[in-house]
Amino acid sequence: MTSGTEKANGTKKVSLMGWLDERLGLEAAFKFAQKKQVPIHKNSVWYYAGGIALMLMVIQFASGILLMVYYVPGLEAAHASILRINSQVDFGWFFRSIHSWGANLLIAVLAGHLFSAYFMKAYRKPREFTWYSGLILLVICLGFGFTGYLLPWDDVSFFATKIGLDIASKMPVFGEAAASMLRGGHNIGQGTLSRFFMIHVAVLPLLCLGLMALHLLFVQMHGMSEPAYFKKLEAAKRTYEKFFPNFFLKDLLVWLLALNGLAALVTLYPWGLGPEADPFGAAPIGIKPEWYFLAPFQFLKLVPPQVGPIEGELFGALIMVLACSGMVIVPFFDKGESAEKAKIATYYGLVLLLGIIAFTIWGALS
Amino acid sequence: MEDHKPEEKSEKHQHGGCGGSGSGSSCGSGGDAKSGSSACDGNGGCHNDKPNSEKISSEKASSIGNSEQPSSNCGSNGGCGSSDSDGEKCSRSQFLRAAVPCVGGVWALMAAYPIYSYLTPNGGDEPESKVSSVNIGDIKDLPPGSGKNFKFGSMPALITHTKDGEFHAFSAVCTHLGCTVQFRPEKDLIWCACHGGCYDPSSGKNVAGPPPKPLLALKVEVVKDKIIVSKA
Repeated sequence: MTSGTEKANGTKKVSLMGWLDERLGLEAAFKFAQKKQVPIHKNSVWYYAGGIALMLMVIQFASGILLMVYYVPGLEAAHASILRINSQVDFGWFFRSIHSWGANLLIAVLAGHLFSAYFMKAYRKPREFTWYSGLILLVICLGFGFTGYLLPWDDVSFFATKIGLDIASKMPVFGEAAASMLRGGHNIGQGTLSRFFMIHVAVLPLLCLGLMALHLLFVQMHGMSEPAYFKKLEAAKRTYEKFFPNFFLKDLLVWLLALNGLAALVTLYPWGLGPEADPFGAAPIGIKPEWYFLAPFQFLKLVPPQVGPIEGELFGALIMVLACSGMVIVPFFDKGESAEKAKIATYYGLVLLLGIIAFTIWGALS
Repeated sequence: MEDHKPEEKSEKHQHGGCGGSGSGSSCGSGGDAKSGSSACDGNGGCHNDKPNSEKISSEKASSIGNSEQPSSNCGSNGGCGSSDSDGEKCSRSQFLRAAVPCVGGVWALMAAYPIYSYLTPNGGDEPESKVSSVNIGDIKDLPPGSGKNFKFGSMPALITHTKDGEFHAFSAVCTHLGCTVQFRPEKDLIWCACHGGCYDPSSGKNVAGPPPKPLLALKVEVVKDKIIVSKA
């Protein structure tokens, strides 16, 4: 790299890169990028999941901003405004479908990213904060899904929100207060719609951006996680590729493929809109939440009304929280010092993953 | 890590110089007159440990002088509390260290309370229903073995006309997770589409699925062929 100001034959020569480098320290960033390496092993393909999630997140932000131009968060206007976006605004159906399909794909990719990182033991020291920031990001994305689902104000979204808030209200101590604050009143109505809109377009995006920055910073600080079997290999047998430009270019290619997949889904299966919510009508037959909430939905069907002294729905919710809590404590349980604990952690992850898949399929078929 | 070592060193020096002994000359000779002198001024009474102070070379002293927080380090060093004047200086520092988070905390609480109150719904926009009775319509519109959802004030409600010719009305809010139930004629049951909870159409009793309680019953009267539902 040339320095910003070079003296040649007594005259000062300024290059743009040099000028920028003097002010932004680009050379250090380039050196860092060139030093960054990606391990090559049989599970390397999972390294792309984080990048795809990032790309989908950018698409969600962009399409969400575009939808806000026409969406009206009012009880009488919300459904009509989505209908207008879908049927009257040029390319409205396209951006709305991108937003809906993108949200679903994002959750799927994040689930893949989470479990691949889990099974590669990427939560171990020194990556605990990377793990936790990722977990919180997943919860935030589920929050995006839950709040965004109500905004079209169709019948399914109305009852999905009702169920979700009722489950929240059963939680001990702050449950009722939190549910009431989110609901904005006794019943789901304008208060709920306004609050969900505010959370969906302001609170969650801010949290998400901050945490994404932290998550990426942690990844840069610690580098790519390497599976235990890869670390045990002799130095000569461990192969790496440069992140920049090798992996980066492959990343771009994968993004392009993912984008094409999204575009195909959007074009071939445009996202529909159910009938407008009727707060006094019966819940529609065959009502189901989005696929990523099917597992808890199906599980709650099985819990009896009363389990000992505890109400059934509270018991069910507590069991689900307990089942997922292993994801939180695992960095302190499986530190890589005990093969036994590593095995237990792997089995727990497998049982949780298979349980979620089984309940999701069961919920979809029932 | 390389950057940290010199800091640790200079911190030790400050403790040695100001906390234990406080060599005025060494502080004074150290580069930054402002910080150096303030450290020494504050520790005027501490100069009683010559051997220690002599150990500090001028180079080390310069590191003290260049350090920007000698007085605050004194504050954190228990050695400062040995004299009255030190006590005054250090307690001010300690006071500030305690006061800043306390004031910050109080401000955070002061900001949190109005935000909490603002966000807590007071029900002003959705007044509770004052409705005490509703006319559902003509009995001929509701033949035996059928049911109908209707609005009872701000509450969804349901009326059933069972095969024995009786009318029964209930709140249509499922006691499980709050979905709105409906009458299913083919099953002769009140049913919730969300989680499959079932209720008896005559009594509203929960008979299957996850609902923990019966539906809230309402009173039905037939007046001149009109069905009137009121609070039980």
